[in-house]
Amino acid sequence: MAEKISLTLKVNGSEQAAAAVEPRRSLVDFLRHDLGLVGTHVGCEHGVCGACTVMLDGRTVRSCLLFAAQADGSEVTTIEGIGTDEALHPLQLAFQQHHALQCGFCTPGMILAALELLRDNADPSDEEIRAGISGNLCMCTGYVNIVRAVRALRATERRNERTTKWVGQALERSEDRRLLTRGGHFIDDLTLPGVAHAAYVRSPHARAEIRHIDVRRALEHPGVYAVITGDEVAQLTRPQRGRVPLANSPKVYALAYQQVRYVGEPVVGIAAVDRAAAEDAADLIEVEYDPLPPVIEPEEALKPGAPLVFEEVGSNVLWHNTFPYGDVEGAFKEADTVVDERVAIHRYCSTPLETFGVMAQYEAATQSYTIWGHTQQPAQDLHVLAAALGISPGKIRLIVPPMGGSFGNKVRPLFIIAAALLARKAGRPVKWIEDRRENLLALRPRGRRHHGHQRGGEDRRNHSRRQIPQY
Amino acid sequence: MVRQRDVERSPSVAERLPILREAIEQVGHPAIRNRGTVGGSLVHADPSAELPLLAVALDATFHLRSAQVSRSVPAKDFYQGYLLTDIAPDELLVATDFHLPPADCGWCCTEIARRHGDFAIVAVAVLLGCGRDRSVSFARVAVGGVGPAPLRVTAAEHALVGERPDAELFRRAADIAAQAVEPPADIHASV
Repeated sequence: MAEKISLTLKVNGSEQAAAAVEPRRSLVDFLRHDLGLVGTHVGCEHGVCGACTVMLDGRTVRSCLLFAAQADGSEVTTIEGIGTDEALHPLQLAFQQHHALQCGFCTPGMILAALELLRDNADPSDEEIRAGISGNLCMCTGYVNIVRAVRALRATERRNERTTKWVGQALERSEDRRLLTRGGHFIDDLTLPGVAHAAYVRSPHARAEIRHIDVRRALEHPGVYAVITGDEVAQLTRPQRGRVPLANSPKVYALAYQQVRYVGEPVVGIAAVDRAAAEDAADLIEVEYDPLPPVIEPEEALKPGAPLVFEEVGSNVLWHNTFPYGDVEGAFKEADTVVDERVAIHRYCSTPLETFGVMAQYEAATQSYTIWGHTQQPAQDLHVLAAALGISPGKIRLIVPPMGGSFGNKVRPLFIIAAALLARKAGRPVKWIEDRRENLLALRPRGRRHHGHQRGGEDRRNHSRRQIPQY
Repeated sequence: MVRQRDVERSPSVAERLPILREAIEQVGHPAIRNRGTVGGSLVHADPSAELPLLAVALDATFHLRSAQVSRSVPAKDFYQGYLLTDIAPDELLVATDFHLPPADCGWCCTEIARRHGDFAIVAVAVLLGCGRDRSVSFARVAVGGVGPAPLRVTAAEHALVGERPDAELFRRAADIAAQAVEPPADIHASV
């Protein structure tokens, strides 16, 4: 590891001297985790989304693309230097008044980009506003209200007369001021004393037997607290309970057990003093695989002799059901026309700006867990976690912080279980924030789907009757 | 080492080489151009990038220097393939000369990209100047994103020079340019 360096810079007007910064520390990690300025967010980690935008010597930059060392001797302005809860900057006020934020994850970067735009061009056209914020992605607002908010500050803007009292008016939400000025409540903004950081070794194969895992070098790596594999997870937990009761349940654990079933499946978990050390240790773990032919297409999976994703189930059909309403057969008999069609929908991943995250703490005395973690269905996940860990739900306190978007893929209890086990093994809280590479490799996708439609229609009344097999 | 944003906002570039400004406006976004350098993009040699395309269109000369040697390489020899240039591991790009086109010529740098600021799927730079008889006297046609390196299509330029500019002539030149390239399929487009 390279020698640590010291740097001096001015942040939001005050001098900051940092004594021991790793040369590879990014500016955004330095601002967030070393200086505690968590209003700057990490979105894509490669300069595309704009969530980490800050000003460096008066110009917007991507703090994820800069090393902290590059800011040595410079002046940095973050969202915390723009306005306060009590005294919002006029642009922050305009964002609030025009409801130009929802989850608020993109907001700090968006505000800094818009401030630069308005500084360089006091009277931008709508097109120039759109170009000025084009490097900042927002997944909630659809941008219309953001453009409106920026427009409200341009030199020639006239104030809109209010014609209605409630309809069409944006109301101040209780979370707005915090989101506009400092953020600070998303999962990666939270920390605990002595918290360890997790990383995962992931499968490079779509299907393979795990022959051997050698973790010795990782355990010897400085700063590593705990390493856990699928074998240990299978001893410590029960397979994950599915959402619907199945006759033959697949045995799914928090880490791959004996077999891997998709590219990116977590195989080994590591908890270390920081994320960089955990990833360094992950690189030292050797996993031997025997690759097996994968089954990729849903229709291929249904064919006789197809490789079984879960051999213990004995079939690739986990669940089959029909939902008939009324007299389906009779309706088709009476229909003027019957249309048969097959619609294929490609594999699709919704990618919120904020990736998945969890922080778990284990209290040995009471054998209980406190977990801050992402889930869109906490009441259900609490029972999934309790069942997997073999404890009463009362032994788990599950706290769901506000999320920077989720779009259906923040229901991943396996990662919460893995963090809980790592925390227990490491004897200290463990935090895991999915990085964007992991998110794009193996987030919870909507798999490729096929829908078969059979539709009987009566033209005159424009009623249709449908049968929709879906898999 | 000049930042892209400084070139974008330079009054002298706007006056004498406006196509350069138009090209840079399509590079990433303001925060990217605040940090990105012109030289960095030129030597990175992404086949879809706008600045290498202009270097080829405008016969740029690259001035390279190592601890021992200084040398100059014309753009047509500099770009050798996908992300591959003539620069040696111990060399730095220290300056780039763009040959100024005639002051009164028309210009356009445009591209098809999925979103504003993305790398181009296809990018085109064209400069056209006309003589007193209103026939084309100066033509530069270059295309990017359709091969391992940006390509100047001299055959299309030859077809334009000496002719009266009209839609039919432009179509003919475009056909020649299309014939001259063999674009690879990628995740966004196939041929």
